[in-house]
Amino acid sequence: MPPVLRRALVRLLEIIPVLWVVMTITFFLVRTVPGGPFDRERQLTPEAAAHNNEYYGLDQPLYVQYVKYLWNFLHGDLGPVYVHPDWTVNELLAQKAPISAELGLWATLVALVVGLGAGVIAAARPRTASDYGTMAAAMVAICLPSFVLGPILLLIFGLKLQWVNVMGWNTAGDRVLPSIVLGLYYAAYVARLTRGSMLEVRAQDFIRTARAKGNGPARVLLVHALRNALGPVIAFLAPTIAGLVTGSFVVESIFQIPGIGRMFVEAALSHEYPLLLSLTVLFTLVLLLFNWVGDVLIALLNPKAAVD
Amino acid sequence: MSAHLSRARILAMIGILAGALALAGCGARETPVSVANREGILLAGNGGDPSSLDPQIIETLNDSRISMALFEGLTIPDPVTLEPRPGVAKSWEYDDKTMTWTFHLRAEAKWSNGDPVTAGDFVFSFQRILTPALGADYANMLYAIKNAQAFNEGSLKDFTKVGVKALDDHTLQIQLEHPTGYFLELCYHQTFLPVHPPTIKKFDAMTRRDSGWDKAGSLVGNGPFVLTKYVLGDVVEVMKNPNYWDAAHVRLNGIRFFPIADVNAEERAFRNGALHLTSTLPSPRIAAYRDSHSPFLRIMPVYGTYFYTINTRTAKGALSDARVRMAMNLAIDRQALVDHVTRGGELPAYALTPPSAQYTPQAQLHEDVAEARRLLAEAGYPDGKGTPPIELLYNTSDRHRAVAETLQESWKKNLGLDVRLSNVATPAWMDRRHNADYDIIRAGWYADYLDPSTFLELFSSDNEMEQSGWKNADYDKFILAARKETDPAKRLDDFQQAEAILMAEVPFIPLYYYTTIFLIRPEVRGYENNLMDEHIYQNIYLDPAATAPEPQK
Repeated sequence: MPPVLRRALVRLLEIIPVLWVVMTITFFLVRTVPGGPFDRERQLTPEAAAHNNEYYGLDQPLYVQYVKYLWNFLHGDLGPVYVHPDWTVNELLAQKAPISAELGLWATLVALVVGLGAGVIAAARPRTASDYGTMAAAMVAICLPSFVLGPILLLIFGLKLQWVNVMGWNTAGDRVLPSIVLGLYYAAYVARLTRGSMLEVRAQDFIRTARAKGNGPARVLLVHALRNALGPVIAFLAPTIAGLVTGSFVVESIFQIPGIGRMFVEAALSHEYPLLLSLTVLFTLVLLLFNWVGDVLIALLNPKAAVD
Repeated sequence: MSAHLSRARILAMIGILAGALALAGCGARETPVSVANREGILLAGNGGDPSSLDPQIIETLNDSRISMALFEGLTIPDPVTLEPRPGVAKSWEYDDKTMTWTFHLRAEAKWSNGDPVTAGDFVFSFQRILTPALGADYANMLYAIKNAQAFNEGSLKDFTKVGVKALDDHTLQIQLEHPTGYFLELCYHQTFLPVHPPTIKKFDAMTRRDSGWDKAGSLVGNGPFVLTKYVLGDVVEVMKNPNYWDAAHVRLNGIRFFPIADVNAEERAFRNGALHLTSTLPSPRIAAYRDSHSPFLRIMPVYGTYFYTINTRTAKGALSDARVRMAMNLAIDRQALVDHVTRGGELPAYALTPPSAQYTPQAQLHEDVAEARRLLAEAGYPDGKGTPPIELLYNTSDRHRAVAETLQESWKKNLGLDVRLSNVATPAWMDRRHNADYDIIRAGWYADYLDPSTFLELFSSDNEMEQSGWKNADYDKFILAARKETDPAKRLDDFQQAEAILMAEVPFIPLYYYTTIFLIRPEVRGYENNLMDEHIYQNIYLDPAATAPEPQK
């Protein structure tokens, strides 16, 4: 087996123990928070509270609950949802994870297209108006939080112009604003990264060679320079995409999108242990997987990196 | 490198963004509301997600709004006065001596699958909600029924001993534990709604709260609407039930309940033409709507009180003295609080029970700073000297903080009391409330039914809700007498006496009576104000011709 491939496989298998550690730490950590899922403003009768705790096994010693949880988890049963007893964690994930993933992919597209485009424009003529203008815009996008940008865009396009729906995830139009709001921040990072590494690459000998061979400026910039400047962008994008496709609390709340980002925060607040654990594990899994894919891609683009 | 390229790129990107938005816009957009007006569908913001659609499991007002569309009890509330009107029961009579209600069910009442609604269905439903293994949070609403409490607590195993009996398919007899002046009002509460026995059995849901029988496609109800869609975080959709006995009078074709927990998002959705009515309005926006005399704003007084509970057992001796508690009560300005801080049209509360047509407390606080200072001095703390710092605990929220800071300031200025604010997340606040781990704590109570007992029971010694530690034998005596009293006038008098004792001892600080503030479009007709915020949908219809200027942009 070639060493690159073996290394990739080992890294893939390492994900399993990391997941287990994250799950275990989370399991015990969430239990240290005072209160429980059946503490409400209107107090349950002691009988009802005791019954609910018993029904969901919350009255058992923590290590028993842990072993049971792990056992069920390995059998694909992610557990109940206390506050919404009609649903199981499996059902909610099946309903909502694809929605967050779709939003994340659109946002990634925005980040890539806008980010790479702006980065290349800025790097094409460094220290000119087009460079400063683009980078200033990128700085604004980084500083402008989505909970400000989202409502502003909704105010303009949803309320003033009445072009789009301000809530829901039904029509193609419902995808536009959330994807832009979620993706723009990352687009700005991608733009800065692209510009930086393009400027570095542009100064190298092979670019001069490419020009000397008679390649046009566009071809030199987009084929020779960009390809070699992509490493840092991919390294940045891997965890970013993982974050984007696992949902955003702020964007999903502002635009009323039924994804898992909102659920994550609600689960933490209302002591939904199984839901919280599943989402944490899912997020960890996606993060590790994308990091892995990123590493593999970088190795393929630049085999030297894999050997180091 | 040509400048041409970069400019072209910029233009292309702007083009993509604008194109995407234009595509979404596609000329004049028809709002969801105008589509819904045409289709006869009400679009309602409904706060957060429903905890469940099983009426025996649900907890919140938002949940019960959906239940009212899907199920119907023996009685239904009058849309304005909330007096009980015939529902599944077409008539009833009461026998004073045996404390027994006999309900005559209408023969034409049907479940949404066509089965007849029988007296036996109600017996089955009451048995289910009272079965200890179901762990229904609100089962104690049925304790007015004979032996219901014993059965629910597990000391009685035989349900036939509980005072519910089906004499035949259309005659239901309910024997009470003690005279309950508001029993017919209870009958339209969600806990008294019937569930469909064959469905419950099919899903093995007798004692399982997570059986999923109440999802679209499986839920069978007997209300004016049937469930057609239920997606968490998205929508609960109900459509007209052709099998409903009074379907001829149901004018809406359907209702979509949108669970929008973010209050700002809900207001935006209203202004975007996506909702006919909201469940609430963010408090910072109330003033703008009020000042512009918006035709959409609705302020509805409801049967609920916002108050602070004082821990009379606290180690910090001062609060166990009624004079200190009274001083704190008299040294604040509630009118200013509702006018300048909460700003939602609330009424200042000078007693525990909110005013209603039936009962308004005679004992009322009279704010008086000089008297407050005198009482504090008399208790041995002139100008607040010698009192330890008092902690005021609330669950984290801007509104609670604003109220707490205002009062902290008043107590400092008027009495020289050092009150320190602390806030924790809601579950921790709950925990400390139950364990009486506080000096003064933010509290509040919305009535479960329209009767003063729902408030006054809070401070009886056998109530586990308010852990103020305050106990008063005379108070308990009047509460107990009211529970047993059959004469409505005497019963209200018992409440007056009890409330007078409470207002003399003040183990709490009443602040204001709640209002529900929301936005509603003029097309929605028949959505009446009432103290319980209960709305039966038979009464509501859409009149697309009724227009008002569009919501401010």
